[in-house]
Amino acid sequence: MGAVVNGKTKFRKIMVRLAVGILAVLMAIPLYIAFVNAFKKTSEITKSPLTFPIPPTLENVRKVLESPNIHLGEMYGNSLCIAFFGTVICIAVSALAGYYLSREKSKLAGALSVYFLFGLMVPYVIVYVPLVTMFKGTGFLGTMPGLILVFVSGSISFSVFMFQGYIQSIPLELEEAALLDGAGQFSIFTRVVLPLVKPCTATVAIFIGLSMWNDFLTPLLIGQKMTITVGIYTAIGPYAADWGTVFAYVLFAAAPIVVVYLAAQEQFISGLTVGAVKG
Amino acid sequence: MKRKSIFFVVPAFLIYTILLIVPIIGAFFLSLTDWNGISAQFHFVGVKNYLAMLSDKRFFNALGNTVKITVCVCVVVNVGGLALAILLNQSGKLTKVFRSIFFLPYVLSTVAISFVWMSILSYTGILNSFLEWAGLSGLVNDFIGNAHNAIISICVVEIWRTVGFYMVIYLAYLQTVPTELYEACMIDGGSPRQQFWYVTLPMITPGITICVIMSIMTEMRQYDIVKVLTNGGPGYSTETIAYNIVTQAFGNNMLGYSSAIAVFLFVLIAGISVFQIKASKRLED
Amino acid sequence: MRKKTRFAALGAAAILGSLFSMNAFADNAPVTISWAVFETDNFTADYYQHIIDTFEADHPNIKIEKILMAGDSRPQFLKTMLSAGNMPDINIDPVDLADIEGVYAEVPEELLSKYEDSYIVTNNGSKNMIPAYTALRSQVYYNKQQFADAGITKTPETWDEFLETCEKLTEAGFTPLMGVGAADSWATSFGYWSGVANAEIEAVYPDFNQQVLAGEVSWTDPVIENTLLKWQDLINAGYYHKGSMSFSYTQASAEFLSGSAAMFMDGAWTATTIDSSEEYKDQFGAFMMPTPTGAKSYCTMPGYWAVSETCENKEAAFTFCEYVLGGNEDLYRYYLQADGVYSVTKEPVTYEMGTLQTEFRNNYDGMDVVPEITKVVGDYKLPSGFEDYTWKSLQNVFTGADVMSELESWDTEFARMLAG
Repeated sequence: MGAVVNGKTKFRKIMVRLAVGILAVLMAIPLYIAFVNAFKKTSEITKSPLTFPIPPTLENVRKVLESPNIHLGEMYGNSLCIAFFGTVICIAVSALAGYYLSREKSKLAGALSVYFLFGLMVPYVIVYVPLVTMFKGTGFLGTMPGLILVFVSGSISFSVFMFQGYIQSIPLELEEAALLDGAGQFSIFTRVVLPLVKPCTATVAIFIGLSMWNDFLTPLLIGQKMTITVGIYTAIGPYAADWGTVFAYVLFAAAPIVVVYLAAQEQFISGLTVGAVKG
Repeated sequence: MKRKSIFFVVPAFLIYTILLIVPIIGAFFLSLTDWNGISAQFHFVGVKNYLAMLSDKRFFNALGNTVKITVCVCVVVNVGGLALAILLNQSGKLTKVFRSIFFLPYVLSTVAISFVWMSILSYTGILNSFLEWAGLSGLVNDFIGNAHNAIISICVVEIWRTVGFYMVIYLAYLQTVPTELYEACMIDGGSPRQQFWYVTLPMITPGITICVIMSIMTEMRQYDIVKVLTNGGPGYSTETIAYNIVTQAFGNNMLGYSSAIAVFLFVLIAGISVFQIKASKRLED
Repeated sequence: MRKKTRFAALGAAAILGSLFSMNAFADNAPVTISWAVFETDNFTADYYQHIIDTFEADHPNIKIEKILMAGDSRPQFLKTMLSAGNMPDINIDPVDLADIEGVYAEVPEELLSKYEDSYIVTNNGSKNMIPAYTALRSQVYYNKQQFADAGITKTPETWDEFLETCEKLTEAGFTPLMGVGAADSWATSFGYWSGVANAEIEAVYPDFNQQVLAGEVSWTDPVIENTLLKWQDLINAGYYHKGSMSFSYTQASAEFLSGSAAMFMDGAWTATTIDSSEEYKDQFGAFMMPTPTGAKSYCTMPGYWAVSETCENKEAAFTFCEYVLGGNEDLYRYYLQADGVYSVTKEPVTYEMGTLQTEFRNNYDGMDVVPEITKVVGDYKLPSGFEDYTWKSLQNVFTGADVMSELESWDTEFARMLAG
């Protein structure tokens, strides 16, 4: 920013750095606590919550793995299935719709834009009861595809809004050139538009993928599917006093997402950054 | 250019309409009935459910809590998120590490982190033992068992969880501000404070609008943290509207009534969003 | 997974326009029955596994799938499942939903004939619950060592003696009472409500449920108010552990056992937990909580199972119920002993009780048994959800809310739930 650097601003800069650093440490403490204490006996935790576990015990982790109530494979599978297919389907239908809405200038398109925007204001909790009632007896909501589509329906507004805004900012020339080459509407979309909206796709994918992976109420109330979130909530019940075990459960819930995040943190942050502004 | 085929919009339209819009219309309909959610019959009761809300202490309590949480979290995450974004709007390895740390809580499941916070805030939990150890036993307190503290605890956890997210969005908007503007401001003798008020703030108004709306909408629907941390307690003193809706519907068999509260919440959020968008449009002009 | 295959099968059936009924698919394959349960220190995962394994060994054609009920309120969990169309086939703790028409299947007469008549109830003309056990409710557990250290030689028998005991414990540097809060609202008032308030109310109004449902008594009755004010006195005097409201039930229980407080008003199941624990055995005693006016009675709670109306193989489900609840005597004994509850079959099934459980049981000698107001089943059952509300409200009382205005809100909620 500034070109002038004197002693005073330098000192101020260091102080700011220090403050931010302290804040970052404070922010990280709860996660640090969860991590180190997952490898300690519960009796040690309240005595010395902040020390490193030396020697570490795998007792808590073993308790989770051996618990007959925890089917990690099924739980991770369900969560992954919901987050992956939910995100893919949502992006596919929303990008198509966003493309139409940004390129069409008809009255119908205008009305549809507003119609899709409407969903952004819906407090999702309003939907559960009627949704469950509507599909009662069909068994549809209890199935994985049913649950996935419910998740998609809840994220469409946001994704359409993002894609519509992003595509609007892309110049028309490329599409026109493709049209002159005789390409069909759909192939223009897949070959020309989709590659151009990649940054927006990344933003949407991170945002809705995370919300689907972490969602608690929807699988609990609608699908009764054991996702990892519902699973640990259910399994912790009788162990709430046993912090070591609780932390081990938390570790299993958080580990996959933390690994993905640490491996791709730049993409996470820059993904959100690029898409957010144009959207 | 050729008109786009309407089929582009059909899949999204169908999923959205059937699974979201129709249920919302259903909620309006249910809110006018006395249905208990299970039996085959119900009666139309007109606006009785809406009138019942007026005399329901528990509902007003939940509304009050929701407003408290929303205002507190919205103000702190937006001011804090913007401040962090400004401080971290530079390159450098350490900056990147800081950004990652601030954003990390947001990627984790709310339920999982609520359990961690419970272990910290419980009376015999980590925070109190730390205070005890540090010789600050005067500060030892019941952070979740006392209604006043419990609401604050919920806000703290929610702020901790989301501030990094808003920081990232603000960073995005800060990066759209052309450097020339800052330079021009500096040549005119503007101090950093003036730079902020006359350059940064006007340029990122759309970002502020989006972040404020997003944080309001998220907090108005607050459920997860309350469920795990306090379960609405002690008593029902930390219930939020979303929590109240779920309890009335699935705990008390009052689906009609719970739908009325849900419709109210919807109207409230829609009203706030429209107001907010209008207000910031005026500000931008 | 089961639902998924069923859905796929349904889809296939529809596409083929098949003439086969669903039974055609199920004939040879084993039937799966889902069983909704909850786990505690007594009901462990191994405990349920033993029951399932024993049953499946005798019935190779029936598979039992255990479903854990999530959250603090089992009725709320079941209603959620019911609304979503995912009702588990067999429910334990079905009382709250049993008076809603069409939720549970009529139990075959032949099965019911095995249980004592007094436990068989009718909900809206339907005998839809299977008696499973009867349980004693609550007493005060106390830490023998801390009582001795505080110079208390005799457990209190009157309210004044109880206050004196609390005072002595405080003077000796102990926390007299452990309390529960946080997510487990049921447990905050459980011991006091079932142990003291219930006795006080029934002493004055033997037909309380009947009267309150008819509007002849209200919840703001002075008997209820005074009893709750006495409770608040205990709280205001600082006898309860300071962290009570932040403890979940399991936390509070662990804190009590490890000596954080000298007394804990808790359920009969804890006697079994202590008796079977190497660490805590013989260190704790139990006494009947004295009441302010000296009213003496205690309540029991019958437990039931029920088979869901949506269950596709009711015959198999009832087979499982019959097998566990008496059909296999050893298994029934195992089922009862784990939580310290008692048999309800015409042929009583007994087991050897531990020291504390025996003491607990003997404390009731010569006393009247009365129904527990909020647990009454059949015609005089209180509206669904009301008990949950009282738990929340009693937590407010615990944290200092005005007793009268809380009770007024009971009247309001009660009227609303009756009307709705």
